Amino acid sequence: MKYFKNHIVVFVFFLLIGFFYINQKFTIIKDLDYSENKEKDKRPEMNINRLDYYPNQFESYFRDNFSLRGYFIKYMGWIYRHIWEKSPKPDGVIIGQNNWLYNVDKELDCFNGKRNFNDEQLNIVLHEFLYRKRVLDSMGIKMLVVLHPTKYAVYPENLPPFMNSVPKISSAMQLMNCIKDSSDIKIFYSRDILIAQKKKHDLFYKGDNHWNDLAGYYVAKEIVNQVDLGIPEIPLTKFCTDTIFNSAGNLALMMGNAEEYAETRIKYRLCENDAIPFERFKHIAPENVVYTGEFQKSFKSDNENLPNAVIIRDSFGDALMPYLQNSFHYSTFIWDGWNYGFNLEIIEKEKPDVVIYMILESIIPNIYTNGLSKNWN
Amino acid sequence: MLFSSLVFLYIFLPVTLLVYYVINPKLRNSFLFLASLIFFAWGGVSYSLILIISIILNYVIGIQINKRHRRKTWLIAGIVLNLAFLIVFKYTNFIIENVNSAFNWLEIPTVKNPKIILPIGISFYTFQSISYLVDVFRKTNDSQKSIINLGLYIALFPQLIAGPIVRYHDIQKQINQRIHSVDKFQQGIKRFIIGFAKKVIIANTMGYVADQVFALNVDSIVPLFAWIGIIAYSLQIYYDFAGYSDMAIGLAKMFGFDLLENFNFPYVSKSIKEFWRRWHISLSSWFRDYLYIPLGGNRLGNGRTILNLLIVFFVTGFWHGASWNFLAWGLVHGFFLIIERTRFGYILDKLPSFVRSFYTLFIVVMAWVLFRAENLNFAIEYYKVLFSTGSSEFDYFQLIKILNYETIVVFIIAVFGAMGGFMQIKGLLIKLLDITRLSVQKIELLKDLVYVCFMIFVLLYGTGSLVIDSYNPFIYFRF
Repeated sequence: MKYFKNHIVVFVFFLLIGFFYINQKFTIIKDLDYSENKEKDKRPEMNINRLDYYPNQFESYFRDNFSLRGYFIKYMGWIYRHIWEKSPKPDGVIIGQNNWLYNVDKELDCFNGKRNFNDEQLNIVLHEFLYRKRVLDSMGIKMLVVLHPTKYAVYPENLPPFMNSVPKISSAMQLMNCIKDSSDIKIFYSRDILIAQKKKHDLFYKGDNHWNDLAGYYVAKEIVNQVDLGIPEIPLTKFCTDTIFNSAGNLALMMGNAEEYAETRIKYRLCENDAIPFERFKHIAPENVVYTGEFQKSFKSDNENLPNAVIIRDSFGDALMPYLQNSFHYSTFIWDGWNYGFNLEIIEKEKPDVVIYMILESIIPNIYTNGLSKNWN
Repeated sequence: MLFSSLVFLYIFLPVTLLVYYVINPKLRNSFLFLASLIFFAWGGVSYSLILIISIILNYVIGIQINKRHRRKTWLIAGIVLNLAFLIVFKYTNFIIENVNSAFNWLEIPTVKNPKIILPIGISFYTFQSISYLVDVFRKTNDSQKSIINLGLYIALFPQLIAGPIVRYHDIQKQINQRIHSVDKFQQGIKRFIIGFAKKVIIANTMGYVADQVFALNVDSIVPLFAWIGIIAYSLQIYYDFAGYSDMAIGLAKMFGFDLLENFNFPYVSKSIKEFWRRWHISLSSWFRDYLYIPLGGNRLGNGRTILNLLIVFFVTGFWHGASWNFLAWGLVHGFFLIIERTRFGYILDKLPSFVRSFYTLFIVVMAWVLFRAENLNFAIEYYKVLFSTGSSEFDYFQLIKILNYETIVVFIIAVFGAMGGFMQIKGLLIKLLDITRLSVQKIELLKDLVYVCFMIFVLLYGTGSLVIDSYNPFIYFRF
């Protein structure tokens, strides 16, 4: 009996510490599919001149390619959520009421007024937009600045109980008030439109920090209205919907057990969509742009009477595209890596009738840090 | 390489164990030495050279000390050389920073700081090397004839990075001849798993809480957070260090070695003196045997005893780290150890047990502020927050990060364990099992089955924690 009991501990121990490496080599159990915001590290090559770096590189490779990593992520996510009732990524996701997830990165600080401009920064950003307006005016191009709200600003009531749900003055409000008080630049904060609509519709995904296509529709409609170029309004009835079941948002993926937060997404597209991808000019993404494939998206619609537009956007701009691409003859959407720069070279080539800067409020400070033009002052 | 890393658990350990038990037993020491060098090199390949040079120097000096002539000269040379390594690699930055501060004050041009990176484990293997030389000098042991065996003593991977500090005379016989058995191996596994659980489940969770608080600007820490932070840190440092020692002892057992215990429930101590008999036992024993007693210990009168204690705790503080914080931490402990030798100690002994426990815990926890703070200024400000009424407004987001079901449950387990609660439960269960009419073998099997379940849970949960920490979901996956 003693022989048996000694061996059972040793056997199980060796089974546990040996199994994962063997499975990694021979795939006895197949891993789950999951996606990450990086390519898995490749096995490093041993270079005698760079030996000091090898251990860290190998550790990173081994961790990224650890056997059954997908299962570990899924079940640890479940344990965190259901046993500990907390986010497995507490610095990344807040679990709100009714399974509403909120993105922490920059958005929480923005909501709490911790990413605001000081007077000097605000003045510099004001002058940047005055400069852009001046240059665009000289070219006969209109300019519109649209500040997009985060999920916190539209749905603060779903934050966890006791957490501050009263929005503080954010950098968006600072910038809008400053520009409205000091210039004739057209600017609006799309939060107000969404708050007016949210009683009738859900406008953000529960498991994602992004808004949905319906929110995109209402904001795009207001943009076209504000541009004031006589563009006809497209009623919602002209849109058809495609339903995507069990789609997990970016925050749901961060929770590890994405299917638990999977929800139905309704994609809006114009039933008689006449806009097609069309690049009159090919613009090269600067080196610091992360998603180069998203840098330029250009469309052409059949109606030559419509004006042309260059739209500087971020990921929130995605939901606006079905509407906007059909509201302009040529439309070019630029995602410059959250810099919201002037992008004058692109504008000079495209010669649009209007330039629209769509900026997510939590990333507005990027204009000051990365988006200033060389000649702004 | 860390014991709580995936590469160690799932590559290094199984491969090393497998090769160790498959090869000719005569080659085991050589292989274990080689494995230890690889283990060490994993944390900094270049620094392996320092370790190898240290082994060669101590080997040569040990042989010279063993000869009849100029033994003391060789011993002094050996100690000076070992300490020189330690001072150069651990204290140069600190010395230059302070010299430069003085130069700045005197408006003298400053010296360039070479920013030397601290080689891992140097404090531990330096002390082991000195222990070897002193033991040979005292003729407690002969010098080691085999450089491989001496290398194995200095670099044995289970205790190389964070101890326990093994004194040469405690392990010399085991290097040449040790017992390997399945029973000992499974004891080693059990100990290793307990250590792994302490480290990955308790210390890491408490560490996260402490890090959240100590990462805040001291102005924005409210008293509630400050208390949570320092209590969490007190538990983190104990479980981190004791867990590592458990893993070291367990691993050593798997390779046939018996290392001495390093912790014995230090937080149940009723005086600072008792605390140091229970905390990092191998270090306090080392200082007692190789510093305090050679300085005269308590044999030369009260004044000299106080001075000796101050010296020991001054060195203990600096041994832990090259900064004024650690020095202050050491001196706080030294101060209370000294006053416990006065009438205060007499009064303390008369007080109820819970008062003595509270006094000890309070001093120890307060001293940990010095240990954890980035600098003395931060520590002073932190103390002010701890004892202020402060603002009651706090950031709820921070609060849910540090106070949630996980941290609360782990905290309760940690406190219960640190106070010896699990040992009491174990005793009770054994008594209960005795009442049953099960045979001894069945009871043993039942215990092991429970243990196997515990092992599976700990390894899988620990591995999951390590994997999920590196999980980087695709935020903008739609693009």
